[in-house]
Amino acid sequence: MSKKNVKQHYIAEGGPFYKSIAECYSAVSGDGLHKFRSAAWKSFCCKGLPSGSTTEFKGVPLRDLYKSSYSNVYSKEAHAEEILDGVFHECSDSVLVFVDGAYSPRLSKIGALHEGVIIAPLEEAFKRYAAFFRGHIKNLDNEEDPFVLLNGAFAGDGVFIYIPPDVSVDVPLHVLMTTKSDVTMTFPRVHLFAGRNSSVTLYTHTNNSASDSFASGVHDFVVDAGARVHHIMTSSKNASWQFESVRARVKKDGIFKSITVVDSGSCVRYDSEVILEEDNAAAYCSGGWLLEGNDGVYINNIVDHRAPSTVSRQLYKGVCNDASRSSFVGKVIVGSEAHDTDARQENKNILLGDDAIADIFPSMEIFADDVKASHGATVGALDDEEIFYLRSRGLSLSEARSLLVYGFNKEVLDFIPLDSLRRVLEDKARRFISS
Amino acid sequence: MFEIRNLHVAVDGKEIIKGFTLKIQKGEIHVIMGPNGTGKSTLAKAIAGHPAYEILDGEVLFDRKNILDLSIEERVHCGIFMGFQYPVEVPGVTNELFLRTSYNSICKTQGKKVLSQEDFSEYLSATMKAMEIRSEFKERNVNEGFSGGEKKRNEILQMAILDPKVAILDETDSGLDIDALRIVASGVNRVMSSEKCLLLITHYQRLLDYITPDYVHIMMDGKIVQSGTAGLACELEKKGYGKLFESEGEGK
Repeated sequence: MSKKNVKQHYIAEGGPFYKSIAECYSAVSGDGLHKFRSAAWKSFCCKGLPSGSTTEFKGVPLRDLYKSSYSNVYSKEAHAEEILDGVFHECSDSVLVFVDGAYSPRLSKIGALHEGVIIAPLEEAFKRYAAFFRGHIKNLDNEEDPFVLLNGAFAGDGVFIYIPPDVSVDVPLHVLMTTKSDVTMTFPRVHLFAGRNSSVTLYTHTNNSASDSFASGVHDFVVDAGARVHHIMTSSKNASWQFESVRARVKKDGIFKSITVVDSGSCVRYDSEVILEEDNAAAYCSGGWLLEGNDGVYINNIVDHRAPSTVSRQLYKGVCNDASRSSFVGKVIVGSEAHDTDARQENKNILLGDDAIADIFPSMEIFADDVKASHGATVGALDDEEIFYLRSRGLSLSEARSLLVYGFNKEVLDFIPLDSLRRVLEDKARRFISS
Repeated sequence: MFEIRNLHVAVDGKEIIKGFTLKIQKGEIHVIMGPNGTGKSTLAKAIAGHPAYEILDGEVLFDRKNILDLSIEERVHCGIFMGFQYPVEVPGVTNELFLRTSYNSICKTQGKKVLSQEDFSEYLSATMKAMEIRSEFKERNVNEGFSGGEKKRNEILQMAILDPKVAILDETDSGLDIDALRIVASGVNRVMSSEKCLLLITHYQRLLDYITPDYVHIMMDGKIVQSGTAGLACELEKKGYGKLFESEGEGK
C-alpha cells in the first residue's frame, strides 16, 4: 500500500477507529434527541475524519488514533464517595458528575445552587424545553469540526444548565468527568445558558483512570446580554485521547472568560470558537500547559468578532520538557460590521527539552475599519541571565529553573477565580522541574 | 578573610581583568573607583561566577578556600553576596517568594532551620520596616516595573535578608536620588559589622558621605593602580582621573 493509500485507509471507512465509531453509533437506540443526533451523524459522514495535515489539527497524531478502536461502554460501578473524593470545598455541594461520558444525576450534588437554576439531563431538557432549545440552542448546521459533529451524533447523556436572568451563582459549578472503563470512547456534552445579567463560574475537570480511552467533549455556552460566564477547564494526568471543544456565543455587553490548564496528558486537543455576536461583547481566552515525556497539547482557538466595539484577548503560555509537543492555532476574525474591535492574541512558549516542539500558527482576518488588532508569539529557552540572577541568590540550577517556570505560568494561573484550584496548580508548577 | 590574587578574566576571548589583587580583612570596607570600561563590573560578575566570564588565571580566596572552584550558588552558600548594577526582572515571581526560596536554600546548605511561610513573612516585614521599604515590595514581582532606584533598594533588601559575610556591591549608588541613597547607605551600615567585609564599586564620592571606607582603590585597565584612604576619593572627585594621574606623574 502506498503512503497516501495508508493515510486514506485510516481516515476512510475501512480504518479501525472509523469502524468502531460506526458500530457504536448503530447500537445507540432512538430517543428524544434522535433528530439532532442523526443530523450530526450525517454531517460527520459527509465531512469524514480529518487528516493531520489540516491547520486546525496541526501536529495531532491522528494517524495513531485512527489505528485504534474503542467501544461505548458504561461503568455501572461508580460510587459517589470515590468519585467525589478530592472535590474542592468551594464546590462540595455544586458538583455535576459524569461517568464514562454520561451525566449521572444520582452521583451529582447540587444543594448549593440558587433557586431557579435548572440542571437537567440533556435528553430530558430537549423534550421539556423544546421551544427554548429551538430558539436559543443552535443546531450543528454550520459546524466544521468533525469531532464536534461526532459528539453531536452521540449526544444524549449530557447535561443542560440554565441560569435565570439576574441570578449570580455564588458557588462555582463543578463538572467532574470521570472515565473508569478501559478502551472506551465517550462523548460528554454540556449546554449552559446564562440568562440576561446573570453570572456563573463553571469548572470542568476530567479525571481519567482508564488506561486507554478516547473522549470528544463539547461545552456549548450561550452568554445572554450583560451576563458573565467564567469557564475553567483542567485535566489530570492520563494516557488517553482527550478532545475538548468549546462553542460560545456572547450577546450585548456579555463577557465570556475561559481558562484551560493542562499539566500533562498524552494527547489533549482543545478547540474553542467564541462568537461575539452583539455590541460590546467580550471574550478573554487563556491557557497554560506544562508538558513532559511525549505529552502533546494542541490548541485551536478562534474568536469571531461580528459586532461593533467587541473585545477579545487570547493569552496562551506553554512549557515543553523532554520530547513533548504543543501547537497553537489562533485565529481572530473581525467581520465587516465589527468596527472599533479591540483584539489581542499572544502565545509564548518555553522549550526545555532538546526534542520538544512548539508550533505556532497565528492569523487574523480583518474586514472592518477602525480596528485595534495585534498578535505576538515567542518560542525560546529560559533566560540565562534570569537563571544566573537566581543562582547568585543561592538557588540551585534546578530550583532556579523551577521558579522561572512557575513565574512564566503564573500569569495564566492568576486568571483562575477558584483559590483552591489555583493553589494546587501553582504548587504543581513549582514542582514541575524537580519532578 | 577575602582575597583576590592576581586575577585575570576574559570576556569573548578579550582579557579585561589583568592581574587584579586585593585583600580585605574582617570589619573592613573597601571601595573601588575607576573610569568607565576599566573592568569593575567584570570583576564583580567574575567573582559571582557568571558563565560568560572566563577565568584565565588567579584565585579568589574566602576563608582560605578558592571560591572560583565553586558553582554560582555554592559561593552564595559560603556567605558571599553580589549586588548587581543592573538586576534582572523575574516575571511572575513575587519578591517574598523569591526571597523565601533564596533564604531557605542558603539555610539548608548551612544546616540552619528553614523558615515557614508565616515566619519568613514576619522576618521580611520587620526588615523592610527597619529599612524604610514600603510593604508593597513584598507582593510585587522581582524587579518587574521597578524604577532604577527601586531595583537598587531591592538589592540592598536582599542583602539584608541573606545577611552575608562578604558583600560586593556593584554601583549600587548610581541612579539614586538623595533619599534613596540614604536608605541604601543605612541598609549597608545595618548589615556591616566587625565580622564582615564589604567591597563597594562606585563612580561617585557621594556614597562615601554616608559610608566611611577603610581603603579606596583606583582601578584602571583591569587592575588597581593606586590605593589610599577615604581622602583619595575626595581628591579624585576634585581632580578627575585624568588630572589625578597627571599630578601623580609630576610628583614622580
